[in-house]
Amino acid sequence: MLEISRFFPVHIREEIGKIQMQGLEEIRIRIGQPIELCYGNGSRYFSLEEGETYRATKEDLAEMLDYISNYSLYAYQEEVKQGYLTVEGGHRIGLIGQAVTEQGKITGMHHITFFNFRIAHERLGCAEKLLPHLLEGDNIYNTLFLSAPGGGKTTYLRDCIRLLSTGEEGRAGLKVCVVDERSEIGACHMGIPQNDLGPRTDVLDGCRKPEGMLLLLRSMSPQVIAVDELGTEEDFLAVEQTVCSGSRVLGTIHAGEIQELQEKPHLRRWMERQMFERFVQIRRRPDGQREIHIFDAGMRCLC
Amino acid sequence: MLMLKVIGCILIGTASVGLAISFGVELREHLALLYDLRQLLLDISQEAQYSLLPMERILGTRIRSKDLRLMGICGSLSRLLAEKNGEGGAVLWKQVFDGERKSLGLTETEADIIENAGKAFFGKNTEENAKNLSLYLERLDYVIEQTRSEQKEKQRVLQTVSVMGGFMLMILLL
Repeated sequence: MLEISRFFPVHIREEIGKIQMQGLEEIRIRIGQPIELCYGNGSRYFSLEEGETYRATKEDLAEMLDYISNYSLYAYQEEVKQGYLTVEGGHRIGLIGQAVTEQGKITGMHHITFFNFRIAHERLGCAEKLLPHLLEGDNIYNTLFLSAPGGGKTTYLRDCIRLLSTGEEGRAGLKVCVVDERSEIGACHMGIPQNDLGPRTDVLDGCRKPEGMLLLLRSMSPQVIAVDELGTEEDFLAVEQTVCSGSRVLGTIHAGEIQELQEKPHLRRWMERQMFERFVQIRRRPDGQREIHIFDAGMRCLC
Repeated sequence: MLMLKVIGCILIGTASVGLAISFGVELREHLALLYDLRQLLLDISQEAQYSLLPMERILGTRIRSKDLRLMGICGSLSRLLAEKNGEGGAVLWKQVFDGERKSLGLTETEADIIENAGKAFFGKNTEENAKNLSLYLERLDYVIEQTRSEQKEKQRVLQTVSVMGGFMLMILLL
């Protein structure tokens, strides 16, 4: 908790340091409102030792913004435009307020008064059981992880990357390159991945997926390219080019059910051509546990 | 007795010339400090724009100045920023420079410019910082220009006064 508590105002830092970390997923701070602690099984308000609920003030938020940006908001201009930044420890802080727009595009953010601390939880080993289904000899099948937002597809992708990169007895580690457009996979802070992605992983941070994948193909000779949140036609064109170049692709996509992939018009072409050979569908159960189904290229459920 | 007077006169004469020289050196050093401060502001700004690193890192590891006092200031400012203990960046900058004002030997106007120049490094974006910096650099340039033009005149007056003072003492002694 020490990593996160130092971003809070001095006068509540000690109490913040005492909150229960087990199962904590988010801390949401809204101006004039109680600080909300979101756990996997519900949420509660942060209260001081005396038991009173603490409401965040304008001064608190200004102080926090100083700490989050290391007093250097200018250094995070691009991240602020995107609405989030990654801090040491891999935690992501969403920040919004009054958007400054130019010709319809967000060019900055004024009066930042809402924060969302997303606590990084690396679940090392979570993909161990599903990895054998994704392996094709010494390499892997082109695989797509799918789930609804917050389902955990990035967590599984991250662990897959780590396992593939590390290798194991009888299976050499692969050269994995990651295009981490939103710094969610490696959670790079100052160029250093905060999450364990294995010893043979190179991370291209903050780059758009289509450009990033082609750049990696040219420069890093990857055996596997991993990307998060494929969505646009441009993304899939880059995936196609990657696959045609002999590299394998691990990706994620927002979809609650595997059938939804057939319904996405810009995906149909690649689905028909069976570009992806494995689909890992992740469902979050009400108790917070994950239910996983693996499908092959013909959409047959393997397990 | 006469011998003692002569030796006394030689000592006074040497001291007054020495004093005159040290006044000159002091003025030159002060001007050099102002140039170093100007360079420091520019270096910080350029490093911030180029590397887009947080200020605590820039001040702690990236900035090098000829003046050891300025290096010390940068180091302590970097430590204070890393501690994250309440005050804003520009306020911390002001506090640190204010604390070192005597050791730097700055005049009130110079100290005012330098202490407020921190506003040029803790803004919302690089454009805002650049605009603030240009304002403080303009003010500092004016002060440097004034100091430079006054330097020769001041040096001449101080040297004349100290040498004349020495002569007066010698006359009194003889």
